[in-house]
Amino acid sequence: MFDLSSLTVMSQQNLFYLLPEGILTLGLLVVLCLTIFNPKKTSEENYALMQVSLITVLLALSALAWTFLRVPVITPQKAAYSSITIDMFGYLMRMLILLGAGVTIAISHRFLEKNTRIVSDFYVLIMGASLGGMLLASSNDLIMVFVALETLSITSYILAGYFRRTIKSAEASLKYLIYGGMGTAVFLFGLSLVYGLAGSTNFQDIGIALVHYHGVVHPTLIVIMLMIVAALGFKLSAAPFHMWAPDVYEGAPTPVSAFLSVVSKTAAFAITIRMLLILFSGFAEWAVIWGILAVLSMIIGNFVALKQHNAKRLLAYSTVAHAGYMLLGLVVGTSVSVSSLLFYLVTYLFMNLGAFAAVIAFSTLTQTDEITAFSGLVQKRPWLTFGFSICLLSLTGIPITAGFFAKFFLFQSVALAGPVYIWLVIIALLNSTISMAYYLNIIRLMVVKEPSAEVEAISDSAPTSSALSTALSFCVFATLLLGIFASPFYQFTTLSVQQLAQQRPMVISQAIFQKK
Amino acid sequence: MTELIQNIWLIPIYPLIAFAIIVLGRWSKILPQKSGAALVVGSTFLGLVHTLLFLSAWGPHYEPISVSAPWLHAGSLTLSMGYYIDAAGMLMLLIVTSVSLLIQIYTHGYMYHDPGYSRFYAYLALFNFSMLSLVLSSNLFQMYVFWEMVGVSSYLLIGFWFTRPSAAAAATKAFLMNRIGDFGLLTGILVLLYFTWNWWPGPVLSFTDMSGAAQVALHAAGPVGFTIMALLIFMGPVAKSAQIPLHTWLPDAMEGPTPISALIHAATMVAAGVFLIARMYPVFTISPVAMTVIAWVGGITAFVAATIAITQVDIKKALAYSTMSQLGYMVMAMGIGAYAAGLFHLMTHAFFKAMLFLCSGSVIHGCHDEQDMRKMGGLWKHMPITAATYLVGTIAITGVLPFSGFWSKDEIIGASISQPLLFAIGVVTAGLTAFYMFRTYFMTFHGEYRGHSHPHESPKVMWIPLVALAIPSALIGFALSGQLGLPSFEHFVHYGVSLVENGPNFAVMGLSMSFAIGGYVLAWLMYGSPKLISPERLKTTFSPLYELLWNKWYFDNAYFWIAKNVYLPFAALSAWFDRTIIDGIVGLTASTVNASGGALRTLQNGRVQSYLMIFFGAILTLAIVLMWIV
Repeated sequence: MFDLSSLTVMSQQNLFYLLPEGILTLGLLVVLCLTIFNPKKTSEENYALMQVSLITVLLALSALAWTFLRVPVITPQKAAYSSITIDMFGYLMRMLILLGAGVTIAISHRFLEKNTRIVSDFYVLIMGASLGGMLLASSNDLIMVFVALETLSITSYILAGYFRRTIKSAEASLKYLIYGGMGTAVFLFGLSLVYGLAGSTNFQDIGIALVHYHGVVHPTLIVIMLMIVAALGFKLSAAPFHMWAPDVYEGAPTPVSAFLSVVSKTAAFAITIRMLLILFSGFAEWAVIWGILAVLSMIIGNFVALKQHNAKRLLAYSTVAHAGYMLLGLVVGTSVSVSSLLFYLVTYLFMNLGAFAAVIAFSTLTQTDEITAFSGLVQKRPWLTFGFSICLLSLTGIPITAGFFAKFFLFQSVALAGPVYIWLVIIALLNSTISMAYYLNIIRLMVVKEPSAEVEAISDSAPTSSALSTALSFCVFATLLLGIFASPFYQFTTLSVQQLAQQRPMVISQAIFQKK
Repeated sequence: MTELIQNIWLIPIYPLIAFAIIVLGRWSKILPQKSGAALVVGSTFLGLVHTLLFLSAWGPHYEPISVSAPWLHAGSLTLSMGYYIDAAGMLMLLIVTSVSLLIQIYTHGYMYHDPGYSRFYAYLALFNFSMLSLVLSSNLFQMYVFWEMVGVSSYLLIGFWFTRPSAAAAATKAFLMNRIGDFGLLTGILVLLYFTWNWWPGPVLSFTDMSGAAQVALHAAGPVGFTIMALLIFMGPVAKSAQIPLHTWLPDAMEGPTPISALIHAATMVAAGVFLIARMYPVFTISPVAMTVIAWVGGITAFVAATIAITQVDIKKALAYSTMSQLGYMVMAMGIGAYAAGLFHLMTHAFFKAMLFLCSGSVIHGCHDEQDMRKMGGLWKHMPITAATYLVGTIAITGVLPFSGFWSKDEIIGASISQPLLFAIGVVTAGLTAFYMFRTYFMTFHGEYRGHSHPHESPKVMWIPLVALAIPSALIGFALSGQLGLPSFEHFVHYGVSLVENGPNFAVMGLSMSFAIGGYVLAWLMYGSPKLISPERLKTTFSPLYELLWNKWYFDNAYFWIAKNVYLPFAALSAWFDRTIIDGIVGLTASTVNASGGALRTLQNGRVQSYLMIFFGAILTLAIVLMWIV
């Protein structure tokens, strides 16, 4: 194989498509070298490194767009010895991951400067985790899945403990590591059983091999499903595998919580959808499992969020609840519902990152993220209040924000799938009503109440990071834009799902997608 | 000339542009302080010229013109906007543009020193836009939209001096009373729409197809349902034209600046109710019950308001009750089928009542914001022009030959001859009108001055409009009576085949004029120079009657009583129900959710060992569930 010129290998293996990942790796190495060889950096140098990282991510995004436009993906392409699939779904997910990474880098700089001396390592880790997420989103092979997932996970463990001198951060990291290690073990066990049944690690081969088991209750398959569900449920922070999330989100530095709740979750959803639709599309048992997970996540996420006093913890439970809503799309599994789920994922990225950005901005100003401390913020920082309120309204699902249309499309697709699913929609609607209580409470505090002591203490001259405010504005703008012009984005998600459907083993193509 | 006809929709646009310029110009501080008058007067003048040019290009048959364009699609319903102009619409256009023009000129003098000068002109322009659009509306729905907009302008102008509690209260009262009427009107429109949903050949609810729609609705709803619908629609005019029982807002509306009382609450907006009846005539005429109700509401209002006017001491309130009474005449005319006579009176009344109000404004201005007639008197010497024009207006309203009120009012009374009771009301009210109008005249302008300030004649900018209005007040009735060889009013404005005998009836005229002269003589005896009869003695002699009239037939007291003893207790009951039952259920749900949230939270104990227990426990439970289901 090496007697061929490396260029031929590249073109044969479609490595051209992996240009964004390449750029990201290169940028990561550059920042890493600059960090290692110059450990004691001035604040200017840190700022420059942040800019380099941000430019790397933006370049990767441009490369993503360029490859997408240069060679249109009419049918899904394989790359790197079939371990990678290039399709529109993958493009969408990689774009989301890169956007999430970019926003995370932008919102974290001032926060890190204020809390630790080692700043630039953070960007290396974020880029590394994003690289893992991107590969995970387009992997087509069990080995690739595992390697990418571990790239994402291990960097995440380090990120959670980034403030190593803070006990809470270290505790979060350790808990995450133990819980995650257990999840990985279970996942690997499940994957090995798949290999045992199918005799291959390639998705297409496995899909064809598993066709024999359609309609048969095979104990091994049930074990496989449960193990994969448990591991992915952990990554998605879906109840009852969510226990790590509140502790980790609270303990980890806030930008890390933002990253975990959005980027890591997007990558996890990407692989979940891909595996489900390509490998296991012929098995009805999934619906039951996901249904249980969805209902539990919604109920636990929303009910417990009601009782939280800390904004980060509240957002942690709210991400559990949102995972529950999104899982509804998997329960039904029609092409409409999965594309609604993707649309939800897109809007969730912006509104949740926006909310975290607002919390970061607030805690940089006041050194606290207790909910009561937000009282009367409008009098001191009206634009921050406005942006945060838009994100919260969108998370609640109030019209003209994107969150409304995301919920609307998703719940509608579930309700239209059949009478048995109406109950799920009713539960989801009741839960969104409950969520109103804690989201709107924050807006009420910020707007109606008299300023708290912390807010009073904000001096008018306190600087706001331009990177952070740009990122927050971007998220708010995207949230409103997706709310007003939902349909072009929705069409893109529909196309993505259509391409996913093409990759299933042909025999069963009528099984799920013909349901509706 | 065809451009003029096609572009008649521009007439309301001129004041809208003036409004926008004032609002933006004053907001950005570009526009000088006192430029409102030029802009608004200019826009109205343009409108008047456009109207006159249109009129000259319109003939010779004066065919109604209707143009519509789709505006709003809602399901299978398409609402349109457009313009419809016929003789009645033309009449209203002429009245609104000409009276507005003069009043806006007058306003410059009256409001010159008011800090809200520009705001006042902006509101005037807004009102003009709404009123002209209402007049030109091509369908009932569009008319309703502008009906509400004139209501808003009226609300803003009544409460113009909003820092005065009485002005704010009066604005609120006008708003509430009109809401009641508009509720009926809107319900009526919706009922009409319901019965004719799929019928409309042209634009929905257009006036051109209204008679066909009325037949369809009558067929679909049956006579009882149809009458209810017609009466619901009539509720709109009842409130807008201050008819009993929704009349109490109009006297209070006198809290607004006097030019507003002249323009909105005498000449134009309150007449919109009569105009709506005219536009919906195809609906009303085929329901005899509705027509009877309309006639009686009008007649009773005319009489009751006239009796209240007798006791008023505030010059503007006296004129307000007089307006109510005259509107009653118009509504009565509509109810008995005297379509042309009603609109004829609308026109003459617009001129002389606008003038009377402007005179009262001139008096108030001259007496340094004094409105109480007991503190006036002898003003003839100080302000002769105002006094002379007021006298012209008084003679016109009392219906003395050959002034305009004579022709229009007596045409209404003549038309009612087939209904003896209404006829009697009409004649008696004519006598009362003469009495109370001359009473105000004598109290204000004759005798000795009883106030303490130094009254003076108003500036030129104020008295020129008075003189200009005096001419039509005196002459227009005679000119259009059909007696001079000119074509009569009815030649232009009529509704299909006349329902009642029209035209001057000299026997009736003699009777009503003798009543009017009787009223005049009585007023002269009581308030004129010799004071042969003491009003104070009469007051004590007829004490119960006087009390009744002084308290305005206790309408306000009754409404307050109902509000206090029926409405508020009911509201309190509802509030209690909402607080205890509804909020109780909500609160119970919330506390249940909260409690379960608290319970679930205890699982999150922070120990990773127990998290892992739950992790594997969950896998096991799911496995059991799956085995059990599958």
